[in-house]
Amino acid sequence: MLTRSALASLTHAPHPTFPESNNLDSGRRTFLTRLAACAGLTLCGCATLGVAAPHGQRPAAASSAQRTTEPQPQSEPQPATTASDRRASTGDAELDDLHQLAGGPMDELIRHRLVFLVSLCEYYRSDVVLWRGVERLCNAVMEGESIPDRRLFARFLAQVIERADQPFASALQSRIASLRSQS
Amino acid sequence: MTPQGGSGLRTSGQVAPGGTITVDIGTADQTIEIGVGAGETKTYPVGPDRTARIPVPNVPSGTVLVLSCGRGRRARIVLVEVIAP
Repeated sequence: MLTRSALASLTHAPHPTFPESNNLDSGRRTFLTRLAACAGLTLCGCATLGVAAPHGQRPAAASSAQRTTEPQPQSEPQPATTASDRRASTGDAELDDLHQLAGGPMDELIRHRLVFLVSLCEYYRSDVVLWRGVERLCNAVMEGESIPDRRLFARFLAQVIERADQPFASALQSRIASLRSQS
Repeated sequence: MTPQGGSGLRTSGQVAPGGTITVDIGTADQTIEIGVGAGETKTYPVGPDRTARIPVPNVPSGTVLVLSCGRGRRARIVLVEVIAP
């Protein structure tokens, strides 16, 4: 049991002071101040977006703001298109279109595979970029991509390579047998 | 035989040498071309019943024939394989 005087001396005793404690308090105060400032700025930003943007466009405005602040990835995996493929317009809208197909998404190339191949065979037999698209189609067949009328298309692909001029299709000649054996 | 096409042209997927390919044309095109994907093509008229009857060219069996209407991304293309009789 503590006596009343002992209790009084304990409660009125001055708090021990440590130099580290003062530094800690001031550091904590600075941190809290900055946190409050950040929260305030965030709230102000949100309020500004909410007021400035029309009601229906608010999510879009917010997402665009987000897009601008997010760091862009340094290097994304690119399709088969290289920098040299992304050339300026050739002056032939159809050829530009086919160039886009050749280096664009695989599903798009597969969707327009017949137009792509027939256009190449009939009008652009010596276009290197288009032949790169043919190589991508070969890979798609070999890798088992979902292609309608797969067997017939594989045979047609083999036929196109067989009948092509040597400099352009020579790299693909070795795939003819595999294409013909596709089921 | 597997029906081919579905986007403007319809025909059987295989034909025998010396036979005739009958193509249903669902577009407004007045002519249809046939080739082998390289070299020359031949053009045939589309009849009033929107069909074209095309004689199978003299090619070895296993050859894939290309039937087409139009050009570019709007072209309608169908493949037909020539099989041994």
